[in-house]
Amino acid sequence: MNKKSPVILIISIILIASGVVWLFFDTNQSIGIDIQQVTDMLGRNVDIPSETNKVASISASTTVELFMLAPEKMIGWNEKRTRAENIYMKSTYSSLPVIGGGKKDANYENIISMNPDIVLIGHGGTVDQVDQIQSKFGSIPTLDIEGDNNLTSITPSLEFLGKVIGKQEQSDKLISFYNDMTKEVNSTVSTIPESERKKVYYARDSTGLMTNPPGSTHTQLIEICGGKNVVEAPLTKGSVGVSMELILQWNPDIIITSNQHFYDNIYSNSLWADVKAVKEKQVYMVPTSPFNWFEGPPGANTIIGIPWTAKILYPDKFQDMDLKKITKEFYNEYYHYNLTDQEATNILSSSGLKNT
Amino acid sequence: MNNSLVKKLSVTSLLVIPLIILFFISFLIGRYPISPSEVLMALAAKTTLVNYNIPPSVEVVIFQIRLPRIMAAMMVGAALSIAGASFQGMFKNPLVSPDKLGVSAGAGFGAALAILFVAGPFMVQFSAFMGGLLAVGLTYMISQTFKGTSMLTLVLCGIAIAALFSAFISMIKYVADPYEQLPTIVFWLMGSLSAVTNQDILMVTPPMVVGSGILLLIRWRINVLSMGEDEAQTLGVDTKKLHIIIITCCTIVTAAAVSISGIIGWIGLVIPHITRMIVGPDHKVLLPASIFMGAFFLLLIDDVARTITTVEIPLGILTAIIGAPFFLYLLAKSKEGWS
Repeated sequence: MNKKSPVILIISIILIASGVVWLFFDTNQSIGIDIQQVTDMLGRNVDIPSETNKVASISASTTVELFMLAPEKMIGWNEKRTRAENIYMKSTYSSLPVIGGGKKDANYENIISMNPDIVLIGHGGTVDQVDQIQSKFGSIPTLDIEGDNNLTSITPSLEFLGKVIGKQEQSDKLISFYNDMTKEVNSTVSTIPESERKKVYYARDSTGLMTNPPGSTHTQLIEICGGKNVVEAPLTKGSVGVSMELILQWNPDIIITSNQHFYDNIYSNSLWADVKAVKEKQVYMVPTSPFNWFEGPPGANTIIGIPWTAKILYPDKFQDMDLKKITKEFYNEYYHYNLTDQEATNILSSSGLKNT
Repeated sequence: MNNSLVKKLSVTSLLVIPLIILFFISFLIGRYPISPSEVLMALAAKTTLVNYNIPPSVEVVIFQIRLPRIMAAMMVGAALSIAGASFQGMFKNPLVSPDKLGVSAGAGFGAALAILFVAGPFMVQFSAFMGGLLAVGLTYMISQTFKGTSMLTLVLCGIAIAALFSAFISMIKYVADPYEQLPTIVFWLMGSLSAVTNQDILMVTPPMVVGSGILLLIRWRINVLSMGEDEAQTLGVDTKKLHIIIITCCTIVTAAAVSISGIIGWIGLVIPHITRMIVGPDHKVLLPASIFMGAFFLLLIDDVARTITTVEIPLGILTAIIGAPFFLYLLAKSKEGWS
């Protein structure tokens, strides 16, 4: 052992100790950032900066809400967006990086390296799960939002998010837009007697045989707009496959689909030729840019689906509803995209709605 | 002589008559309410060109929904079974089925890829078919690069290739849209005949008929192979060529089956065993018998899948739930058929 080693030992101990102290030292306080305590929607108390400039969202439906309220604060998407989805989205936003999340693991290190002020997690977790994710994000406050994937409970989630990121004005506007839509549609369809309610079938995939039963959030617009989902199947979280025989038996008045291939071929498919909706040319294709209007995921993006579905189900009762104007307003305010008249017309006519 | 003829006839009737009965019963069952007399009238109208004024929806249900589905169940069951029986004979191993060389994993990959790129049903099928051929082609080519290729090497390569393609499938599931594509991919991988159309049947008939036909033509040689490689060569059989022919035919019929049905396990493994218990290990009888047996069983299972609940039960689930315990029962009961 040479003479120098004790000195080196002591110096390194001091260095390590000061490092440890530095780690435990609350850096926020020293820089003097305003902190506020919020209670997230699972009841967890979290300290967040009063002013947020960068927000990471790791669930698809909270990402949509964030985009609607504050696109400039988004740091990225959970999934790679397709070209078709980006038609009506400014490239400033569509070119944001993919940070992962959703039903998969987010890349924590990557997100941390982007320095978000807060992280948002969508519905469905338990306190333990969210705490675990919080521990992965270390000092970045992680907030849980509930109700973000269900139109019937969307308002509290928007309210909460607006409050947290300082966008209350925008969230209030969106909530009242939603309330007006729901009220207008509901006041009209609630008077329709059971016998006159339209029977609707939602086709998810290219064969048209995958769907969701009544009560599923994926098809909640049918119920909200006074239609009857014809599927008779036990409610599951996911999708179910049904047989063509049943569809013929249910004989829906209207078919709504999110699958372009199915929509393009439905009128030339002899199997479906006998279904009332096909015979009467009542098949509609859900618009999907920048987000799906009907589901996928269910959530704030389907608010614009309320007037669309209402108009499809009961065109005579909603004759005065100017869907083109509503669409333009909605895109302008919440999707931050100025639709031209022509574009709005295109969206609606390619969805199968002719006279809007 | 007379005795054996009686036996032959009784075995044939045992295999064929239940299938014919089930074939007609299958037209009578389904979720869409059609009375048996309507079914019979519709069938009669089709075959005798007499117009019985059948409602169009009834016609659609019988000829565009039930007919292709019944045909598909029988064809897929037959294809998987004859391929399984041929493989088990060739490898002299009761545990082999065409899946072992990667055909299902390859087909699953092909289908998942097509679904990911939002292709229509036809492209999904075509892609599945090609994926199945590709996987087995890779397996065979890689196994050929090793010295002293044996059947064991081939199976080991197959296991590796299947694992590789399963990983590719997982990768596609991982990047697929969880709301739109993922359920479709998962449902396809579980196997179902609910979306089969008459066009699909016409599409897969040629490869299935050619593949099964060749297997039937060379079935006595499979007997020679199952004696052992050396014996076969002594008898002047070109074993390598024969292996290639059998693998190619089995792969083609299996890939064609999987392309319309999705992945259906256990049929190719269990049916040849059941058949062997009934008709014995002679491939001359075993192969044609497997065809009827496979057709019967899958038709029965698919009838259950489409009628028991309002929701389609994926076939792959049912075949495993019924097939696996049955297989264990067979194992416990006897070691016959391999003596």
